[in-house]
Amino acid sequence: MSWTTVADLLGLLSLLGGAMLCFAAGVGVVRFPDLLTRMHAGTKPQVLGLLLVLLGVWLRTRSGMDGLVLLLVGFFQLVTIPAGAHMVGRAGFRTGQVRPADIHPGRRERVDPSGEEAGPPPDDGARTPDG
Amino acid sequence: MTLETVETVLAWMIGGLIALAALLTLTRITIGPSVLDRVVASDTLVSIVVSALGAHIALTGAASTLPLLISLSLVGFLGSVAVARFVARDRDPEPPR
Amino acid sequence: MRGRLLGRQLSWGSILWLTVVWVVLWRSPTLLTVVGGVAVAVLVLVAFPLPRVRVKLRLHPWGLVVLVSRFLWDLTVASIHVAWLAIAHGPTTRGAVMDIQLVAKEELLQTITAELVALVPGTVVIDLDARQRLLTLHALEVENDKDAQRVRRNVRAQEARVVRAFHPDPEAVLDPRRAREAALARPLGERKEER
Repeated sequence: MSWTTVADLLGLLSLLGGAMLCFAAGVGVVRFPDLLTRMHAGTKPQVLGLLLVLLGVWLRTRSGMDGLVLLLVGFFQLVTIPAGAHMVGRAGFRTGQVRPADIHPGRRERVDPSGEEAGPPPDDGARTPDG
Repeated sequence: MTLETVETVLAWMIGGLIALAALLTLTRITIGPSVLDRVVASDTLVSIVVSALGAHIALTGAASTLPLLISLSLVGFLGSVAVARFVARDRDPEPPR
Repeated sequence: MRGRLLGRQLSWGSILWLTVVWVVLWRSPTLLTVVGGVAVAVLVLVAFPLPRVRVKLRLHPWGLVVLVSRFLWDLTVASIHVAWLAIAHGPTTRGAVMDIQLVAKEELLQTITAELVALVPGTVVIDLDARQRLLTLHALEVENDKDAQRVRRNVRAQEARVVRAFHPDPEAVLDPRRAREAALARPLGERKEER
């Protein structure tokens, strides 16, 4: 076997890994019980899955410039996925989609069980209520 | 088993898994129950589409799909941010039992 | 280093980065794409100026290597774990929302920490209060104090790696004794100013 076949096969295997993580994400999004756990399933295995797919693409195309493009795609995904996930998670938390029982007692008292913030508002405006 | 059969089998497995994943996320988009659940699921769907495009490039060598990959990876999250920004306390009503 | 154009401050780093992206998008490093890239970069920076971030970071190469390799390892292990949780038979897992006190006061370091924590499966970042250095996140598989402690320990370790990779003087932040002394040495008024 020449090294190109090896690279082709490795690329396929890494694609397969990515596809399996995709599938797991799909299953998790359907099976997990509430919004935040679904976010774990939906957004996270995807990060590794996507990197694996991109690696697989590069292993099979093996072109330097395409590799740079794929690197860029991976970087953009790593930067943007947490931004989206954070916005959704915060919105879910603030609109009370977390069961009170799921808020860890170690949290500060300023959060009451409904997920709304109690206590004096911060003076710096850093936490705007519209979120 | 020749190398080609191995490649074909793997390619079908990859395609099947990605298709199943997309179907499952579509289920979650359909059943909700809240807007945010659907947003999360559609986010996942975007990632799955990016993976599918990547698999397409890798399996067919069609590098002309690469720009699509870039644009999706850059703007895929904007929709969910927009919805999350304006979401309120809304859920689908509980189905009657 | 910064140049000026039409009264705007342009950072050479941004121009370089945007040009590289432009050339990579064209997938052909010719003279035309490079010149066009520089032109587009300057145009973008003049038309859409960003607020300046005051950065006081120092790159520690070894710390960065540790950070990146450990991050990739964590990402792999945790992704497989969460994927398994999704597929495994039986009742699915639940999680809890919790607060974690960060040690670094630089917003950029907090952001990097939060970003990395958000990317590793098992934790979803919900909020980050930069002033209070409070990271709110949702963690999977947290049912008692011990689990919560485990998550807190992991996040703090992640932050320590970030600090070791980027902070100008990592030990001043990480060593609890020195951090306490620094806080005491500052007069009260200054402590209020600090952010």
